[in-house]
Amino acid sequence: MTKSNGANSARAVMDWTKLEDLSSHLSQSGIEPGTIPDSEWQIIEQALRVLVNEQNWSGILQLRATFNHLYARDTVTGLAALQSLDQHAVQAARHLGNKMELGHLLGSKGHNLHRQGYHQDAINVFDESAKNYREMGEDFLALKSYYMTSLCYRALGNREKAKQILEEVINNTNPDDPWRANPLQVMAWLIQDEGNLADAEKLLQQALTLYEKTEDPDILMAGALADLGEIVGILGRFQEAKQDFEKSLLILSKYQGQYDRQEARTLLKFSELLMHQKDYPVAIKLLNRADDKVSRYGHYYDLLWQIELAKAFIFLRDGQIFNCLAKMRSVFRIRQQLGLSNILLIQYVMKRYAQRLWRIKSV
Amino acid sequence: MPGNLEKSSYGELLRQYREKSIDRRARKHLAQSQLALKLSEKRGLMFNRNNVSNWEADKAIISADDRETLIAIIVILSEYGGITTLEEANRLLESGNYLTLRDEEKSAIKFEWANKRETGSVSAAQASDVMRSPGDRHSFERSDSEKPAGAIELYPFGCGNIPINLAQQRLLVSTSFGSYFTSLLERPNIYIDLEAQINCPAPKRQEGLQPLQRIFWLLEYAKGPRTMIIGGEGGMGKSTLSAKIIRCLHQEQAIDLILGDSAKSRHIDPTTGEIVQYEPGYYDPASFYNRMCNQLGLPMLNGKQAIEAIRDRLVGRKAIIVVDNLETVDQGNKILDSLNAITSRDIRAIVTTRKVVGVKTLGKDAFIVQLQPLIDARTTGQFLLWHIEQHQYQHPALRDLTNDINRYIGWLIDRTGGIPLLMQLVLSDAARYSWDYVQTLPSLFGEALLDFLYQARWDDLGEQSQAGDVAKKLLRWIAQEQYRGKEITSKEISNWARNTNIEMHMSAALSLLFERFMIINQDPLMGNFSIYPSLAEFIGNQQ
Repeated sequence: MTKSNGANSARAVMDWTKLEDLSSHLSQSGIEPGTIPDSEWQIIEQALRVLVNEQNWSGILQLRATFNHLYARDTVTGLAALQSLDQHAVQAARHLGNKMELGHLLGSKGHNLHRQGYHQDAINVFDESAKNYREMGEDFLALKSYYMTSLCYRALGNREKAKQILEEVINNTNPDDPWRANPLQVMAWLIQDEGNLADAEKLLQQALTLYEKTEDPDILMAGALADLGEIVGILGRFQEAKQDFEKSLLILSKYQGQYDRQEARTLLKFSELLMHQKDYPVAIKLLNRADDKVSRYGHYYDLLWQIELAKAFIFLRDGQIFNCLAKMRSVFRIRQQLGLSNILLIQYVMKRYAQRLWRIKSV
Repeated sequence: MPGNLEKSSYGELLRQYREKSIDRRARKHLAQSQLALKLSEKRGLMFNRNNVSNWEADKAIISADDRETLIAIIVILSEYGGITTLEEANRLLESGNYLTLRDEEKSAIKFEWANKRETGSVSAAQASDVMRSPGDRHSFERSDSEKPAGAIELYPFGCGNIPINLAQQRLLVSTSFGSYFTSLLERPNIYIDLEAQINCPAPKRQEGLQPLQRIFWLLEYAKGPRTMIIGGEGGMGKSTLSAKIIRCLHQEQAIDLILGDSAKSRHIDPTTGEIVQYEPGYYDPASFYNRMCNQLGLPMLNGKQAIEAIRDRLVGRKAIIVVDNLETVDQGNKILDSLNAITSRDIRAIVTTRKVVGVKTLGKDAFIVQLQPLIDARTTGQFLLWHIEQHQYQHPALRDLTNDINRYIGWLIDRTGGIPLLMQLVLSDAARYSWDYVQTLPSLFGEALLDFLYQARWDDLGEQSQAGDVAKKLLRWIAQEQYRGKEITSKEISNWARNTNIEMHMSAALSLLFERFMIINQDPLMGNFSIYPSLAEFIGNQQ
């Protein structure tokens, strides 16, 4: 979309250059959202208000496109200004009947809903995204949205459905296609859930090899390395696991402030390893860092309750029973808000903690 | 003091310095297990009580290559007051045949004992000399970071003088507070320790402590009241004192999280850019809970559920909750009640308010610190000279007042009612005009006098030709940007001046403002300007 057809009428009162400058500034490595004063974010609300008042649908889509990278990354999606813009952009695409854009916006929305823990809502928007892409003949993009539903089904405890989707996606992808690493990585999680750690490790290694062939492999590699570190740690190769986590954090340090949720995810997995090594002070320190990363701007509740749960276990193992209970209450409260069941929580605990304990004992 | 230090081994010295270290919260010596825990946290490696025990018994030695551990031990012992001088630190290292502290290590450690006090043209020492001149009945003997003779020091007297680097903390702080408060956290030399101004209740057996030491003790003592309420009129320095306390707690590693907000009732309309009455950060209990939930990454919750969720989320953290301007919100008492439920041994709250009603001075849950007017000549003199020292570069005429202050202290106290901000403004008038001029000020007191002084300055700018008009515009703009929470750098000011075609008079306009309104520039290199909240309010009311 060009500026000329995007916001003719709004040009007099809107400063697109300023908006683009803000967007470009925010996408720089080392720029934490906290370094941006509240007023800077307000220009997004200001611009959106003008465009909505004028019912300038294409202008709204242009404004959304200006900040696309923020939605694609992992730090600020919980900000009210960005959520409001996203919502209006979806409406604008519907008004204009722009199915291609609608497919893209819904796909992005689905990602963020899933990251925040609203998995059922995410499935609904991914399905709609895939439908729109299919209608436009964009089968690969539709497949990508369809693939994402597998992550949501897994989070909702429906591993069968998740596996079925992944198999379908993998079968429809060329073995040499680097994108195939994505479903392979998720398949590794499912296999890990089943307790088959050796196979999960092999799949992750395959995924890493494929990721290396992608154009921008860094963040994908950082995520997969964190997964690998977790598995290797459970298998008792602590030094190797530590190296994987450190590699992951090193990659993410190049993009400081841009992928806070990813960084928190690695820190959480790293802290779990340290917890099982009884290094509680450092584990808590890492968890507090992770907590600060996910709770300020993105409001990634799904990771937040996992961090709270990890803290609960550390307090339990350290004999701090009251603190453990407080953290468990926090876990239940956040999950309740997300509409997630307690049975799923027990399953999660079984596979994440008990499995590790049994494995360590057997080793 | 450890005995026979010269001949001690590393282990013996380590034990002696550790036993000299005090865990102020537990009011006990630093245990071996605590030293091990702190060391683990600092190094990211695992240490336990046995490691420390073996070092102290000289059964195990720390490798000379493991310099980071050696330095970390010194840092911890210094933080807990076991090592208080550079000589002691070096003695410990030498006893183990380790190299003494290198310059870069000394600067990285940043101990109180390693800090050098900055001196200006009118230094604290010089100021002290002035006050000790013959015939002076009200001489004072210490600067803000020096320990009063005979005073008990639980916390370093300079505690809180080191600014917090918000680049590391901004994620936690900056979107919650206005730029005035964040500038207080970041700026050096914000505070002069005026014990006489602080009326803090003394718990049993703590009567010997100075007021600021009492505050720190009460906030860190595990069984102490968990909420501190700072009461005082506008211009008394409530925000400055709370910033000083937060900085000290941060420096002492008593907190790692700063939460809260200001109940500002003005804001910027994003469409017009005008200052308007606007929804503050919080305005009643429900909006306060929402703000806290938001800062802690919690979904929006109501009432009791929100309080419980906040309390559970904060378990395991060491946090301070700042509730600024409580008097401007509805049902402030309900917010205080909720703070009782949220706060704990590790979670403390600081509330600032102009009115304190129905709260015990020293209760189980809260204690009140009332900021008193400056009525004592010695303290007032100390404060005025500190003010001259801080503002002399932007307003050089202030230096000429140094020798006159003793003569006018009594009059200044009477005229301003001892309110520090009013004293500062009147002093700047005396520098700009004369002592005779300020004695013709009308008989107004407190807020009315503050308004008069601001209004007189504002009107005076109108008589300063073009530079005065530019100064007015600049002041309005700074006030607006400050309400927006924006950092106002020299570059931003230049851009603004260029866009509004008033570059030519900019320098003269800034001088006028420095002389009249004490605008603050915390970063002489890049510029970081802010103004007092009362001035921002005044500007907002001008047409």
